[in-house]
Amino acid sequence: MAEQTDDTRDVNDPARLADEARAQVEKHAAELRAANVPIETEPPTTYRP
Amino acid sequence: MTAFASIAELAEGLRSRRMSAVELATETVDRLASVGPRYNAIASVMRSRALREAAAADRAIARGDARSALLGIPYGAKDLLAARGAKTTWGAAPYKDQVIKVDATAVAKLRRAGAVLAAKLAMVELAGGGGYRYPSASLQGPGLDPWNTGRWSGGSSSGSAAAVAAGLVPFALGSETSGSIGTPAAYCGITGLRPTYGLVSRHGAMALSWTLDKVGPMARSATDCAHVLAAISGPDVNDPTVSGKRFRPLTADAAREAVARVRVGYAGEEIERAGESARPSLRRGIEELRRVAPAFVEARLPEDLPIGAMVSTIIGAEAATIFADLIESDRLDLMPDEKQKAGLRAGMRITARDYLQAMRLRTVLAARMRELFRSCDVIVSAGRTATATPVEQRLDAATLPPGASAARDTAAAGPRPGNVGLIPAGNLAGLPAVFFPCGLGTDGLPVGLQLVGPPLSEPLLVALAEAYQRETDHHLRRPPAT
Repeated sequence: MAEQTDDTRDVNDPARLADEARAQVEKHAAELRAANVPIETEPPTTYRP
Repeated sequence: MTAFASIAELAEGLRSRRMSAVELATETVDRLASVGPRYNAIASVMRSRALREAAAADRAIARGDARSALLGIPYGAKDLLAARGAKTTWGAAPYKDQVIKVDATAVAKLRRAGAVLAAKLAMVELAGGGGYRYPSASLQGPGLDPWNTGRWSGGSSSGSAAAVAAGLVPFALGSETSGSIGTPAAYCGITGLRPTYGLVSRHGAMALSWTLDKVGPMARSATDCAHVLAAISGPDVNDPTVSGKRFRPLTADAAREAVARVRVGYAGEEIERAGESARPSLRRGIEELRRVAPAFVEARLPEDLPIGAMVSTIIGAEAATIFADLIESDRLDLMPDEKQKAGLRAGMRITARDYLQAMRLRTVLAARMRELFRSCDVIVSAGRTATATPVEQRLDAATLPPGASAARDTAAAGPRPGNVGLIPAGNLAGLPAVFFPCGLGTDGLPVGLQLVGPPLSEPLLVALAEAYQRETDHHLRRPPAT
């Protein structure tokens, strides 16, 4: 769902959408950093030399 | 008439010489060309290739060749897959003239099985990478649902779902990064199978997310999906992520035994909080499944993992890397959806730290899902919790009319009722799923369920969906105008 904001720019204004997209990246980053991950946890990998 | 015939029915017609593969291919490409544009479903009709492959199939049938159930059977491929004889546009204006002179491995395997490629099918541009706001984010225009052309056919495998639902082809290839087989299958009332990550080669398929992309079949029954998956699964030296495993369906006896003892994990809140128009059919579908497989147990996705942030960050970072040249060029402006362009650009700002944190959380999620599958064998949930979105509506609209749904497959931030996050969670964990219709909503649009199982559990998922489809006729319903 779209978030309610006080932004008065048109909803399809590219500058507004750019700001919202950047804010979304930051929001997701904050959620990821807040998650507790044991230090020994490695990402999955398909790298096989 | 061959429209809406099953693969087995068509194969029998070919073997018994009631029709030739060339006649079937001719009828199919004519239908695709005349009816397909009604749904914005067609990227390219491939008449020459189809007739050439059909003639070869006729010669093989005449020799008594019984290599595959797909010999002489026509199909369409999502325009994300490369195929000789047509452009490969990835649904996006910057690539509208792109020619890739190879067959994707899935297309090549179907060719070797004797199937006849009749069309490239429309899709959301770049499979939706960046996150689009409107169904019009496609080179062919918004995918229109054969059940109601005022509604969206779903994305990103829009044309694959619409062509199958409208009876233009018996099956199609689609792909899913997070929801792109499941959503259009649910909206168009067909059966879609998302394979385990690595079961089907991605070689020759546009990469949106190397670690999430899967190629899979879309058809009008689980049995037909199984025929296709048997042909396209297996080893491929061109894709290092392929496991080398092959899909083989269970024998009839093994399937009966498996369905009798399968433990079905279920939460249910997502059904009770589904859109008004979808809810009654979802409830009935669950009860019908319970009659087929009575052993229901409670099962819930982990609630403490930021599944939406994980899938968005992984797709965003990988897509931004894959399409960096496009994103940093003026060609990006050829794409119509302003939100999608903003999303692709923002993906360039995702840090390595956050991408890798999302990937580490994926390791945690996979372990949690393994734990969950100790108490159940499959999980059932709604395919989508609402019927197809009005075609002019914003997919991220704050206020949705009854029965409409947001298109994003990522779980919304905040509490997730029941197993509503099963699409992104299943994709992050690389799990297979089968999506199948369970009735019509009060608005007359299709409603469906999904079953998700552990890695490589496709034989069980197919057996269970087949058992459901033997006891019900939802998958046999046709859109009113067809």
